[in-house]
Amino acid sequence: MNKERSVIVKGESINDTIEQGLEILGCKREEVKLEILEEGKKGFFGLGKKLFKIKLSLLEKNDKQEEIQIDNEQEITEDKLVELRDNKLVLTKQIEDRYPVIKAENGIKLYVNGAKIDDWVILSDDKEIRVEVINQEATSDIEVRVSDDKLAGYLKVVQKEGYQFKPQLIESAHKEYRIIAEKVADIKAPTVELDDIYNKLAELKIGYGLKHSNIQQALKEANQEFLVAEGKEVVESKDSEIRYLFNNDNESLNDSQDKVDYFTINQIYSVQRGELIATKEHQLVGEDGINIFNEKIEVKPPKDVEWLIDQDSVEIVDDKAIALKEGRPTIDKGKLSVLEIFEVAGNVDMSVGNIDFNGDVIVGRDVCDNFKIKATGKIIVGNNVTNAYLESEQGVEVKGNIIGSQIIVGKLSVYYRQADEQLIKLLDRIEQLELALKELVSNQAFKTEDIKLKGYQAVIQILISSKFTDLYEILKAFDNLNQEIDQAELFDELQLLITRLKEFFNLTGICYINNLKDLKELKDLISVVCNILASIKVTKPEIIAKYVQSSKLIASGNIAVLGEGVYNSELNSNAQVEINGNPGFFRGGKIKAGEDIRVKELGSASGSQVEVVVPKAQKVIADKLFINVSIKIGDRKYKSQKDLDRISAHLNESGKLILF
Amino acid sequence: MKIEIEKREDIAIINMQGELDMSTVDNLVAKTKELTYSYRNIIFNFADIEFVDSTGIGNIIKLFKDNQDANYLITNLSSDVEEIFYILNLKELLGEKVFTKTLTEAIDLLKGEKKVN
Repeated sequence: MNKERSVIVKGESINDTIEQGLEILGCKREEVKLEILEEGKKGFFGLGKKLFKIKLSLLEKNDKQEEIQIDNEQEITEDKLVELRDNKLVLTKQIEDRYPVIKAENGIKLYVNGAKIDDWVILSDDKEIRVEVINQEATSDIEVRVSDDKLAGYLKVVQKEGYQFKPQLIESAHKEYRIIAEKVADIKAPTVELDDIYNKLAELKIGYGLKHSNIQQALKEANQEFLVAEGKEVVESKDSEIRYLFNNDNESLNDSQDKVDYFTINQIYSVQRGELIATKEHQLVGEDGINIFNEKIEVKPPKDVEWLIDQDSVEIVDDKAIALKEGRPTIDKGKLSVLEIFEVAGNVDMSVGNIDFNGDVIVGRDVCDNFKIKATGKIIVGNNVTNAYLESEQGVEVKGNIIGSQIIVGKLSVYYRQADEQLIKLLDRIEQLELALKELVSNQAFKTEDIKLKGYQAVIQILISSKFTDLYEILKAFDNLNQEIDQAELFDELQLLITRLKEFFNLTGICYINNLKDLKELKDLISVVCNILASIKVTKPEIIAKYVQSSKLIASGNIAVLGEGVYNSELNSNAQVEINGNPGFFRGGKIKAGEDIRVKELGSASGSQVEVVVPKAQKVIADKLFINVSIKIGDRKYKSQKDLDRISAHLNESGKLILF
Repeated sequence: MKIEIEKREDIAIINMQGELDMSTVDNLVAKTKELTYSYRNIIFNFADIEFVDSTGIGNIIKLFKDNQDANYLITNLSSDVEEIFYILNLKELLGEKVFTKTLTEAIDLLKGEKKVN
């Protein structure tokens, strides 16, 4: 009458697998007989996982009907050996041969005489076996996340549903029982109210920039993060700035047309006494920010740039710089100054004598044999320089020819650059030393009686030897630089600093600074010198000439020869060298540059010896390259064996010297 | 400053109490010198030290520098005193192994290793 219908199902948990099988058969649990064919295993991290394999067989109707008839009368059917009553397992019959065994599956705890057992338990009358079911709780929580800068607060309402289970006893094989946890109902997550969110925010002290619509949205859409608080960002302050009303002639001239015009001596920009040469643009205080905790984020106050002026030639009135002298306004050694101009209408010769001037020197015609001009500003010569010596800090321009002479421009610039490197490091160490001393003195456990008695020398010595171990290295390096130059030529503040450092530091390793005031004054002095050096670094004084022969030209800035070219001379620049006139030749001699070298005709048809040197990242460009020219780029060399056109010698990616 | 010396086998523990400063450090230096005749392992216990000054620290540094082949350890620095040692970069100057948080650690260290630095 009834076919025996059965189905074999696989699954991860007993419960789910049985449910699957029941669905396939379309019947209830009471209507099937269960047989567990294979035990499932959870495994570890994906290894050793096994599925449950269960056979569900429909009970024959006949059997069922019989059961039902009997059931109507009795609560307990004869067939059931084991029953679950009041969460306790009971044996309903006497055991003759084999005792039934029972095991708890996931979500169920078995307690045998009070002790929890995880494995198979033999069911017998002498034991009390209690069953406990573990419900899965529903949870609600409000999660708040704050950005690092405390300007943004994010909120998420986390809601997790729970489940209620009930224990179900099933017979998985003959006299083998399992208790599984059967889902009975869903447990809804506890409701979160709007007040709960506001309370949580208040608890965390998040009160500024609340976005109420987003907060409501977070309540509606659970498990999603929303931006609920936004702080106010700081509006940065603007430092004050000095505006110069003259062309700071540190700009190099790249256009040859400008160069030709520049030779007109009248083009020197000069001011009268009392003329305005610079103004200060005032500082602007920014706005404080507020973070989401309603804490003020203080805006950094603007820095007031200080006037650095040469007090002999410039005066500050109402934050405006006024010329006190007649002359050329310029930034000289970092200070706004008006350089006086010394004009020689005719030649520099016996009637004038040698010139050593603090300012610009303008020579109307020639500088004659064996004369010297030294100027802190510029030197401009209307005609020729013959067998003479010119030295200036701000540049030399010769409209005519330079023959048999030596011209040096920006002599100290290399020294200044190197000194700056050391002094910046020194300033950093001294600032840190000052800071460490402050921290020590403010520490509660640090006593200062001995310092009050004997001064700071001992503790400074300890700090230098333990923390600022390279201090003496820096001082020694700086001292070495100073030995190489004539210190009398340095600007005042630097000379003062060198003296002070000698007073305070003995290069064998002893520091004589004994009080904080001296330390601070030293720090301030180094700072001033570094500022001046920083502005000097920017200046690149040039040499500009029409024609050069048998001379030596040294410049920290560009060297430009605008007329016929150069014969038999040495040109040495930390910047570019350009010989682009007509025909623009360089015949015989040496060019050394810190940047590119551009020459129209490099070398000569007769093969005059020429040497050209640039660093590895730079180029040597020539319209015509003659024989016997040796080019050195970085540490690569090349010597021309024949004439070549339009070369642009440089190092390629693999470091080879190529010509095009 | 009170100084109490504890001797455990080949380790001497100097328990200091009070202030390690210019007025008390000479005493410490003297006591330490005495111990160096018989002990190579010495632990300076700062547990009850409330105040130090630069003279005190300077002398500690000198003690350590003069006895580099011995095993000197420092332990139980209070957080303020530890901060002072940090500002003075003493962990780098004397070596990190010199510092332990507790006396037990220091003793274990000496028992475990024959040489610390």
